[in-house]
Amino acid sequence: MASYVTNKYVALMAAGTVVFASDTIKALLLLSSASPNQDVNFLDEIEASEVTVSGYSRQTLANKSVTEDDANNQVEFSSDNLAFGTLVTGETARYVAFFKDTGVAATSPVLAIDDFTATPTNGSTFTLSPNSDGWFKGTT
Amino acid sequence: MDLKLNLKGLLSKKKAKAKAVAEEAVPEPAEAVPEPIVIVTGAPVAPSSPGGFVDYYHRETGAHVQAVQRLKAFRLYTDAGESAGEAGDYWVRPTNGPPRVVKRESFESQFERGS
Repeated sequence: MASYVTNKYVALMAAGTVVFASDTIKALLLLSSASPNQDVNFLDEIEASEVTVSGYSRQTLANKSVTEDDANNQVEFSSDNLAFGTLVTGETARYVAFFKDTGVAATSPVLAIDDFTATPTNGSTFTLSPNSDGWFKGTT
Repeated sequence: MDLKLNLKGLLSKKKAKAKAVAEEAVPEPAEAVPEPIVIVTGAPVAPSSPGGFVDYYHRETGAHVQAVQRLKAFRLYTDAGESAGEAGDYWVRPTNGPPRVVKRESFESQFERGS
C-alpha cells in the first residue's frame, strides 16, 4: 500500500490556493490499469482511467480534518469514510485520487493518491475507510 | 378387472403426488449475496499510532462514533476550529458533525467499544 501527495498539491498549498479543510475536496476511484504518479497535475490527466461501472459516483469528502502530529513529525489529512455506492461487477479498482473540485477537470488539482489492493467490484457496496494516519500525510 | 385397473390408477396417482411433493421440497439454489467491500487505506501508519478508527457507542444513548486513541500529542484542524490533544486523548468522528478531540477520561466514561 502506498500513499503520496502530488507535487502540484505542495505547490498550491504553499501558494495558499488549496485549503483542505474548507475547499470542496472530492475522491474518485481509478482502475488497476492506471499508473498515476506524483507528477500528476489536474484531474483531466487521470479521469480516463476512472471506474465506470454502474452504481459508481465520485464522492465529496465530509468532516475533513488536518492533524498536526508533532511527535511523529507529520501532518495527516483525513475525513469520513468514502462510500462509492453499490458497484456492479466488471471492473477492478486499485487507486483513490483526491482533488479540489473547481467544476472544470482541467483546473481541478489532484492532491494525493492512495494505492490499495486491486479489488474487483462484486455487485455490493464499495467503501474506503482512512486509517488512523489519514488518507495521506505530509512528513517534515 | 375393473378393480385392478382402479387400484393401478390409485397407485399411479399416489406416486405422482409423492413425486410432486418431493419436487416441491427441493429448495431453489440460493442467490449468492456479495460481501460488502470495505478497504482501510491511506497513509502508512506511524509506529506510535494505533491501527485505525474503532466503533464506540455511548453508554446511555447508544450514539455511535468512530474514534482513535492517539498515543502522543497532536493538534486537529477542522472547519470547526483547532483543538489540541495530549497523549492518550481520543480523536473522535461523530456520525454527524466535525471530528474533535475528546479528553481520555471524558471519552472513556461516556463511550464503550463496540463488540
